[in-house]
Amino acid sequence: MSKWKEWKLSSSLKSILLMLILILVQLIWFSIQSPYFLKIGNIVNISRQIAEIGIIAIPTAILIIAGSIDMSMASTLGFCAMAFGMMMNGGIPIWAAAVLTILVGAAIGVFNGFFVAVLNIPGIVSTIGSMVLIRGMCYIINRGNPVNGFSEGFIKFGYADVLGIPVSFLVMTLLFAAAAILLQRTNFGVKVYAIGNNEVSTRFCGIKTNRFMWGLFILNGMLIALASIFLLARLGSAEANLGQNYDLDVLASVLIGGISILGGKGNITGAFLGLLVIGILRNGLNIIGVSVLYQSIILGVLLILTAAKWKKVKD
Amino acid sequence: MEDKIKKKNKILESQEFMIFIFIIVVSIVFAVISDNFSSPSNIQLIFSQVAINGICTIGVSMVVFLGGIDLSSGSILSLCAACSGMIVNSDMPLVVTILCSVLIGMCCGLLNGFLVARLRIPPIIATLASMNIIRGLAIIVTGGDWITGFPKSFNGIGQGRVFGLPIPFLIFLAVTALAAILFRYVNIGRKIYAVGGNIAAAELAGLNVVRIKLFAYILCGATIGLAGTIYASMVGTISASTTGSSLGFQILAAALIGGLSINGGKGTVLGSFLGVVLLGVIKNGLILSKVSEYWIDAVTGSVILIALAINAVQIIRRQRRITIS
Repeated sequence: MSKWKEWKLSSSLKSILLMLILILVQLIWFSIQSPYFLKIGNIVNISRQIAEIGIIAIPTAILIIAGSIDMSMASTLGFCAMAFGMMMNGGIPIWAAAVLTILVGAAIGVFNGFFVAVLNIPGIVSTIGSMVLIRGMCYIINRGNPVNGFSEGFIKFGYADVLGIPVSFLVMTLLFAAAAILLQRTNFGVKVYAIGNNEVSTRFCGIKTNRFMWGLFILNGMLIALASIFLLARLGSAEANLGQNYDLDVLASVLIGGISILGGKGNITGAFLGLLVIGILRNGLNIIGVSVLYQSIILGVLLILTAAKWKKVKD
Repeated sequence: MEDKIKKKNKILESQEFMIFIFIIVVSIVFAVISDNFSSPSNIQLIFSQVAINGICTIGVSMVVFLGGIDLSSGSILSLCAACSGMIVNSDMPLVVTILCSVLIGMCCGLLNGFLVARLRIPPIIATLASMNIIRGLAIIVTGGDWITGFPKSFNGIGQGRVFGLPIPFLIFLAVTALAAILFRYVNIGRKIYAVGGNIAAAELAGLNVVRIKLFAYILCGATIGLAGTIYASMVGTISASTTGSSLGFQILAAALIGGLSINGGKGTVLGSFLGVVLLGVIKNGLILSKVSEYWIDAVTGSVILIALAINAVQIIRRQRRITIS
């Protein structure tokens, strides 16, 4: 027993150390390659860019630890952003539109959760269906046209900061802290890990696992909607194919962070560090002028490497 | 006599028969809504529209039987189509082109198979990653340019007809027939079903699971490679970044409607075939009834979810029946 505990501690410590080294190497490498990389302006830029990915990575991490996944996150992000923009253009005040958008996200969560909780379909399968469906809805609601022309106050909100730190990054950090406390210190976290490790035995312990998973999907939808608000404020315009590559970034962050795709293992701190690795990598590659194409190849390879790492542990 | 009735009931209760009825019902509805739907030229059009998706679906079905999934099929199609176009343009004979394209497809399949079978990455994550990698390769190979200007003789294959049927559709039929024979009568086909049905039992029975998985993925890649050449000759212009961008999900939809289970070991090649035809009819009918093209994604998604829901309800009912009896 004690041996097992020792191994677990060292393994998670090892992965955290590995990521810190990765981040350090990246920082050194990119700052040698480009003089602009370590400027304050660029660091603020990175924090702004990773904020939305980070806000989505939190519920994704929780879902994956609980043994499920939401493949429709990119479509949901796009749809919520479209809906939010259209509501604002329709004359609804910003705060009301924001609340409604989060409700839209919650509704998508209810929809996704229904297939998982009531019909017992694995999340990875049913959310592929809803991914295609929701992406279609993105095209339908505005007939394929982009949404833009928002008030200046809203665009300013997208670039608002507190003491030089972007608001979206602050919100993301707070959410990460909250999620870490929830997962490590509360009843909620115990349930998440228990379901991820063995759903059947958790159900036999008297926990309503289906209802709990449904709740997780609703939370997931709401947080993605929140991310869409920040994303729209930053971009100032939403197209129907908005956020199409976000799923790769989010999944790569979470999996690099040491969260097992098979569920039950990993923690939020890892996901946060994984997010930094991906965010710095993306920004650095952009600055030294690597095309988006090669970037997606690099991310794909990283995804494979990190997913493959769990083979030994599982055996 | 009793045997005959039993057999008849079995056919009537099968998923394939249900889809067949569904195709007829949908066709009648569209024929009533739109005058052009039932015209011979439109029916020929449907046949040629479903051919590429169809060949790819048969290929991916082999992996789904195994309990796997392949999201990278669109990227593989793009890479193979671009390569066939470039090979044809350098004056190579058709046979060489097809062989090269199939070979490239097999390499992509080998990559997927390696990730899934050897590294044991869940297929959905592995093929999500390879989808991006292979798409990137396709764009690198073409240098981001359109591949076009094929010789007339090459275009003749994709656009030609034999007995009034488009050649791609005939190839689709041939591939379906071959795959059906493979999965019904040939040793390796049965082994793939066995691995999909119960991997632990298959392993205990002495099957080399890793090799069977690799084989299925390579075969899937080869089939998509063949589709790549046909696609190039049919379409005539290939852009590596957009070719087959939503193919993976359309295939998944067709396979699920056709009664294949995402957990493997269930469904038939005929089911996949009918699933593809049904989706093709719906898509064509929607366009002809002047529904906006933006609805196509939404309809595909809904069809996937409805097929999944029906499947799930059947499973829940069966479980109830077992607990009652």
